Amino acid sequence: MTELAVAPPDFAKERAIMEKTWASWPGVTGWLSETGHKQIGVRYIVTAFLFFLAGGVEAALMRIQLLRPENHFLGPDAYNQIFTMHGSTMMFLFAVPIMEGFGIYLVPLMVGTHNVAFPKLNAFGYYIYLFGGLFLYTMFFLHAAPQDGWFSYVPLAGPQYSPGKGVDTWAQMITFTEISGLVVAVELVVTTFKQRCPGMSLNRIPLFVWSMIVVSFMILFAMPAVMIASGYLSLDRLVGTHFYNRSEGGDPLFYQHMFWFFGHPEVYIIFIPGLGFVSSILTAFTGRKIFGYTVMVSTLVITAFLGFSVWVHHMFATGLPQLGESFFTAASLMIVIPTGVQIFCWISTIWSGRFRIATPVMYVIGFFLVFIVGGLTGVMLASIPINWQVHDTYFVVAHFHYVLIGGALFPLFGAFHFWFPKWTGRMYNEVMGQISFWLLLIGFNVTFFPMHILGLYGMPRRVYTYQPGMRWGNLNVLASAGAVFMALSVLTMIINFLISRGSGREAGSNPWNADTLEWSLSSPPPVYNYLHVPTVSGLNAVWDAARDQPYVAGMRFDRREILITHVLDAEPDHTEQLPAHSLWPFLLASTMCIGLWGAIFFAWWFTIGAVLSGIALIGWFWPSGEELHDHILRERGELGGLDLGMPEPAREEMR
Amino acid sequence: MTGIALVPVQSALHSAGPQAASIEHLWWVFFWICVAVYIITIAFFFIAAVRGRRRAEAVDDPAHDRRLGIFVSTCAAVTIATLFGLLFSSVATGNAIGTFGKNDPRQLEIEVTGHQWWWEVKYPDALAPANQINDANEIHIPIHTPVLLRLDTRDVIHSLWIPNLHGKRDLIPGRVNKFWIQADTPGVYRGQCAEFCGYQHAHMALTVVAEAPEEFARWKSHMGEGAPTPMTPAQLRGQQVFLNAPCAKCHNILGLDAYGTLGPDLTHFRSRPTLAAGQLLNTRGNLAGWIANAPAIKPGTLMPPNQLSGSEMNDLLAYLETLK
Amino acid sequence: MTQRVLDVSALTEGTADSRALIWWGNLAMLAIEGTMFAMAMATYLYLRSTNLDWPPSTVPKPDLMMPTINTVMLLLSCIPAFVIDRASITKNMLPIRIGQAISIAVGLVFLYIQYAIIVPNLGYKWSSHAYGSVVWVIIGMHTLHMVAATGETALLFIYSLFKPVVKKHLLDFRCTAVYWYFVALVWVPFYFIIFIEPWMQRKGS
Repeated sequence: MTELAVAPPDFAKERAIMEKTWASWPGVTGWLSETGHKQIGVRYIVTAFLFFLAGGVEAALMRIQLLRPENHFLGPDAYNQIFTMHGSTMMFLFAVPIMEGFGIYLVPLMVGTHNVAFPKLNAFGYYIYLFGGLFLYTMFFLHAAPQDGWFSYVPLAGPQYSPGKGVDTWAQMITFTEISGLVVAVELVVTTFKQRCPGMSLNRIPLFVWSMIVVSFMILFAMPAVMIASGYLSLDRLVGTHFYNRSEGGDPLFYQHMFWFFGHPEVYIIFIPGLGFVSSILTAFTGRKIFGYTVMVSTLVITAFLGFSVWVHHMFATGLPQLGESFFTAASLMIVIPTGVQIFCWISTIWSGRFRIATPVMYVIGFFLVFIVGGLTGVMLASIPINWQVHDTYFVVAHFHYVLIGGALFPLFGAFHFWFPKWTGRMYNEVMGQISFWLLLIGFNVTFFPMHILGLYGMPRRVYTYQPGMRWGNLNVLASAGAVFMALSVLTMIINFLISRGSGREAGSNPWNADTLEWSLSSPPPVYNYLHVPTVSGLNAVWDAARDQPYVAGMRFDRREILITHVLDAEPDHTEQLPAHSLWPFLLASTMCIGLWGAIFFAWWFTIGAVLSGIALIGWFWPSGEELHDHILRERGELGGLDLGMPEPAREEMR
Repeated sequence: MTGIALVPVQSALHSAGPQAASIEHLWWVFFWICVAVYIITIAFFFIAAVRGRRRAEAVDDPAHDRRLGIFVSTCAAVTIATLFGLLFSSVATGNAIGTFGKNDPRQLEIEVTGHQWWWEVKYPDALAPANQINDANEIHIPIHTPVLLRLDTRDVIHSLWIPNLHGKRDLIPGRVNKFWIQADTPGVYRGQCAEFCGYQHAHMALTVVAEAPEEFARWKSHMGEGAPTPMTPAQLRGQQVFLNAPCAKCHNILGLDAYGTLGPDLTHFRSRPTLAAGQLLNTRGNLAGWIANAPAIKPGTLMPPNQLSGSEMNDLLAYLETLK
Repeated sequence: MTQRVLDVSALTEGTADSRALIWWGNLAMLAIEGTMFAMAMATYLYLRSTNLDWPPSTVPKPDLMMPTINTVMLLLSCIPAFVIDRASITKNMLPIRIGQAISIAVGLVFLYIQYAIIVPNLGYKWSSHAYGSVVWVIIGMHTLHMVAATGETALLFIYSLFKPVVKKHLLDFRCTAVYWYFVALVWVPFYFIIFIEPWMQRKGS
């Protein structure tokens, strides 16, 4: 590698070549074979958002049912199915996938590369997620939905007390979405570790990317636990194993341990990307680097570690030995420290920055107002005696909605508005943006704040109705009324985006004067992201760039070539060629569906699916003649026509 | 309900016993500290926001950042100190509750077994096992006496929660959980299953009657007697209906040839305030409806609909009403 | 005005070592699989701690010979895997082919012995008791991994007989070898708990 100085050429020809190199295939096959990270990321986001709407409708149905005591709007059957669907949808089909979608879309842009590390695997992850979600909803509309909650505790969800296919469907949906989650985790870890542009050493990685790295590692170690737990549940139900059957030596409590060993980190997997959004938005809107970058990164890592050591606080009422439980109280309380430090760092950033206000920042303010309440009720829940009272009541419902809506949804909606100009090239309507924010803030608090009181006044969770004379009626009416405002907020936001997408003001490449690399690209970004891999010389890549900040030259435009750099200092190391679009990911996801869905009804389908998947895998890895030819020529040094994007005469040695 | 005020709410903030009282106390400690923390943090946030709004340019000064560093470290230190305080008070309360009543010689032992969806309550008698008292969906306890509940379940996981007396404790298959409660104020307290247990999780309530020891003793000796002998012809016919219809397969009536254990013991069931685990008031009309078609009232219940003629139903009700 | 550029045209295209993307992807997959096996082990240990009778008294003491032979053979098969690994660095095809042939043979023999000799003689089924469930699931999980490792090696072997081998394939050989180490080593603790532990003092007896 050498640094050269060249006259800036006109890159029209190179752009045309790159467009062709990275273009999608035409037609329906093109759609199914797409492997570009932006398209896949957007698919994740759109699909997850549609599931969010479905989950919202389910929530609305529950709020209608709970308006009056002994209401007959929904029976226990329908209500139990709907609250199960609501929880499963929001956790598995909305919250995690939409954050993953943001990661898939933004991380390659933020680290300055062309695509994720394994584009075909990435597409496969999306299809597996989509199929898992569609399967659950298909069964729901066939009146075979699970009805034992998003947690499916045994023995209630076991073969004896939940006949039918509902729980099997649930368990299989878990397998699908967790495979997808693991795939995204691998993608993001490898992409950020190996594909960062030159100059982006570890201490210059944007905080959002750090949050996705932390989340990816949490996924790697948390999601196998729930796959195992739900796998045992399936086996108990389908082939008669006894993992959770007390009379044959199994243990229903073991399921709870496994489920919460996953379930608690799951919450962090959902809101840590939200913390990343907050950092991104605040950086742009204060015009300064986040105060205490190193501290912010280490607190994220500490939070992740602590997240794995608190699962028992979901089980305080089971009567485990108290001394052991106290450890989990201490660990749960400790989580406040890293999160608190982050909040104080953000406050310091705002104090010392030039603080501007727009819809994304309003949502960040909402995050502060709401999330901190959730954190503090979390402190209360960490105390064993208080937990005994409020566990499994509406207090807990209020708590985790404050954490998840405050910690994930508010930042997410902020992120929608923040990156909307980047996705579409247009500005959203600011007035409508602010209206949607206030509707959400008011609606949310009216809906969920009364639930704290309901819980203390004895209303358990997951009841399809309650009796007159319990004094719960008025607060439930209030909660239901708040839900109307929340629905209006989401509706306003959708209308805003749909209108602005076509007719909003032109955004330009960097409407917020933000700092991360994606803002150096046109809006929307070209299909290949960067014509030349960029280099960075500071934490805030765009702000710190020199006027003649070097870019990387010497890479081919006519191949899907990416630059691989060292893990720590991001020095260029070698190049690799990414595979072309392919139908195999879609086909493999389909064959796996045959195996995993079929197994619910007849065990042999699993074998059939496995064989078909084996064939699909061979097809996946079999190199095309063209690719192979390329490799051979390359090894012989005969692959000609290297286009450096630097007209030869303009080239001169620097210094 | 002689001389007992009915408190219809179940509330963790209206404690009637020492355990719930210490939790309530701890709750208010946590509550006020958390309110203070919230107000201070949000105040910092808005002060910072106002300050940031006024700036024309972001500060880029290492000395300024050092001062901010001191601010963050101070806040972190205060956070840690506060957490230690909270941890200490929480563990202290937990230990106090955990050791409560264990060594008290006056303690009373009651077995509570969860069923989908009702509570089986037994008062074992260690000296004379035959004198065990069987009851359902209500627990009578004498005040000022530590009561040891042995919690077990016949089917899925349930959770016993009587918020005015204590927090909740799960009923888990294959392990007996021990749980002490105590009431200091006489009264009727409502409790409810708090762990999702299927279809009728919403309708699995029970009442706790805390009464003076002598009243409790009276109640207990009454419960130990068999069912009263039917007097009128209608009651006698009703008893035959009970024995011939499927009733006796699932329900037990002391002194009668009915030993079923699938459903609640009916020996003195008319003295209980409610039917169907707190769902219905125990009136003649509700009882008739329940016998005729329980699944219509409580979908999923194991109690089947019963095809009885009008006169059979009347006789049966006449008999059941004697079971006081 | 001039523009500085960072010229990377001299960098190599693709590597067959720990710097490659696939290598990292492979490691991440092993982390996931390793967590899965750790969870299976946790299942065993947890159920062991909550049962007074473990293994259940109806479980016969297993015959040690075939499981031991199988385990030792599997461990020794790391040697051909190592040969493949090293020879791939220098693209020395003969040792690679021999190593692959041995690996495939070991894989098939191992699977045959597991399937036809060891499993039928366990004396209990997955549906007998929780102990049976966990043992069968562990064996099943490992068998799936063994099938995958053998199949992958066989596929690469066949492919390299008929098609030109380029750097990308050398990387595949090496990653498969690493996967093989994993599948072989992860079996060892399970060998001890499934076959040795029933011979030791039984819990509860």
